[in-house]
Amino acid sequence: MARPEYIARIHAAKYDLRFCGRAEKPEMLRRYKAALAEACRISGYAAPELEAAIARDFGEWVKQERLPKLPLNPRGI
Amino acid sequence: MTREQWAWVEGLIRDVSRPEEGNIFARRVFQWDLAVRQFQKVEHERIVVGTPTDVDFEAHARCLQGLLTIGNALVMASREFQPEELARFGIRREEIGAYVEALEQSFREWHHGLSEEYLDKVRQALFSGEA
Repeated sequence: MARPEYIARIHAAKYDLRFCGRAEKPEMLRRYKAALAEACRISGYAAPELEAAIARDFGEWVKQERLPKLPLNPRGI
Repeated sequence: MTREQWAWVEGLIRDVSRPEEGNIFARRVFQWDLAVRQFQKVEHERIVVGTPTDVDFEAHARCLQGLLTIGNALVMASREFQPEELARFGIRREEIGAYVEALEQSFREWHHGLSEEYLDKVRQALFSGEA
């Protein structure tokens, strides 16, 4: 099934929010909320339903986008 | 001593202990920041791009609850400090709040009360272009 562009935009905003530096968090959170609000408006679903429904697709999107693996520390985490 | 004199002495004691309080608070924020980052790495590997088991989900929920408890306490504690005091340690109150909101978002995604059957219908609508 095709992933709508507005869902890809939420995934991108979420990736940035998760892995940005501490100083960037407030701005990345604002962008994530804006992307989520736009998706709610387009789809007609409430934010909690959307977030839960597309959580697994985020992993697929990460793989498809070939985003860099997160740096691991010497203990393997 | 009058009440005013006692208040003056208490104020002096607060002033003396203030930098130490700031140091302790900043250390807690940095330790929590590190714990959140490590959690997010494991979450990404095991939950997001991995094949999570029930054990993964149980541990994920416990870790999130622990991090959220500390994070919310840090947000409350940060209100005891002026922005300039926090800035001395390179900390802004809204950064801690944003971290907490990002963790809450993760909790909503994976530990909700919605049934898989219902979510499948939502996914069908979203990805087929019906929504």
